[in-house]
Amino acid sequence: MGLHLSNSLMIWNQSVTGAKQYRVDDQFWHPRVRESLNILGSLMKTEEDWQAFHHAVERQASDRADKMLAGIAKYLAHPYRRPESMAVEAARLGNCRLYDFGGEGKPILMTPSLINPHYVLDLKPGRSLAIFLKERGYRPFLVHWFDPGDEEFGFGISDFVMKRLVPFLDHVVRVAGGPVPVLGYCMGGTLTTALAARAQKQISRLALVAAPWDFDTEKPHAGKKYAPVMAEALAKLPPGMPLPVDAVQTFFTSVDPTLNDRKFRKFADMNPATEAAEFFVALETWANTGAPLPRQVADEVMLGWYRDNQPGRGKWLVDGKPVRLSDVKCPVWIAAPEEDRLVPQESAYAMLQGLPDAIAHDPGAGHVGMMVGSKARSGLWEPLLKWLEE
Amino acid sequence: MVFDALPQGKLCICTKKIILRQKPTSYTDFVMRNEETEQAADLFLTLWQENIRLWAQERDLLPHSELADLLRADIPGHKRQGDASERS
Repeated sequence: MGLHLSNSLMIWNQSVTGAKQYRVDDQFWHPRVRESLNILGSLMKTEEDWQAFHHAVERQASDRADKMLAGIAKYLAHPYRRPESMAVEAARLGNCRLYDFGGEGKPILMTPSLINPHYVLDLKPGRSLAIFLKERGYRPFLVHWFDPGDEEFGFGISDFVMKRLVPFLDHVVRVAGGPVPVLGYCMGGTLTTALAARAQKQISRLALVAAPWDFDTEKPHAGKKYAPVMAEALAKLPPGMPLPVDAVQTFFTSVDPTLNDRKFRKFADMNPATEAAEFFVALETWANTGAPLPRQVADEVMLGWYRDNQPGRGKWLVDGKPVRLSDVKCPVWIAAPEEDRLVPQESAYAMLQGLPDAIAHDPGAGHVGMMVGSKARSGLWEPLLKWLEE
Repeated sequence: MVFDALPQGKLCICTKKIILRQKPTSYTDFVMRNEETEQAADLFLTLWQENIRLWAQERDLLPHSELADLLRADIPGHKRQGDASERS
């Protein structure tokens, strides 16, 4: 939150100086806005026009900053709290839990990322993939990673796969009496790919949603640029110290430093009693929640994945052996939107090259929007259900 | 004209004003009205923020330090602090 504030206030403070200078040929301006600026500048015919314009910019910049702060205050004061989930704890290993949504449906294991909370797959009524599947004949089992305990703080990614996902999968397979479908979201998808390679006979189908695999795509991406920054930060941390969640949040904020200002100013005008306002609060709370990343996991992800592209090069070790896509024998559905700036589509689709039986799907929304946004049902949930039923 | 960075509503207002101002008839037509000035400032601030979003997108990432550098715009010979004579 501090970083959001700092970015927004700096942007609006500096805009006043920018207006006074108004150099359209300045390298500060992106080529895509220069023409608009030229036209806007042509409106000012006299020195009085410019002076009035400067005063208006100064006042409105201050108003925008105030409105962003008002939006944050309104968010913090909003009464919405996530309703208690209908899922019950089915198993616990260390500090990791497996939630069971119950019923007589077909069991499916759902695995979120290690970065943000598990409940993005069950955000709130009407915004829950887990409930959507339950209402259509499935019995979701959802992995809850947080918060790492003493044991998990000593884990690498391989440990999370072999000592947590494998036993959780065993549990779901026992309930089902046979192989089950598995869904992995974001980094959880990369982990379940390793799971599918190690537990081939227990997985009937694998759905990967925005799961990064090739970290050395031709198209540059934010994670690739951030990896050296994180490598430098990790080198400065005391040995074994987990990666603070703020370090990861800094990355998300840096992908678009204007996003939070725009979001909170929009929220300031929202009727707090609406579903849209509740959804905003639910999602923002989810996005701003996280747990420290165990140090070995942070090293493996930032250095092994993003810097060295170990998964894409077949060098990523889980249980002491490289994870090979050719070992994933079940049908795989790879959902990855083109507009995802956190996990480039190219990175996720790279798996199509190595998987024996895989198809691709573009959900047509962003990294998080495809899971819980207005297009989630038509873009992701229904196509997923159709594929599961094939 | 390409205004892909501008919301269409604001674009229409902006363009209309430019057309209206092609044929000034009196001194008051040369001086922007308050309403126009406010709209111009609003548009400028929208472009200001959009500019940062576009750079973040183009560079893949714009960490806080790089954002600060961009806003300082310490390009040799291009002082950001300035007066009307620096306008292009």
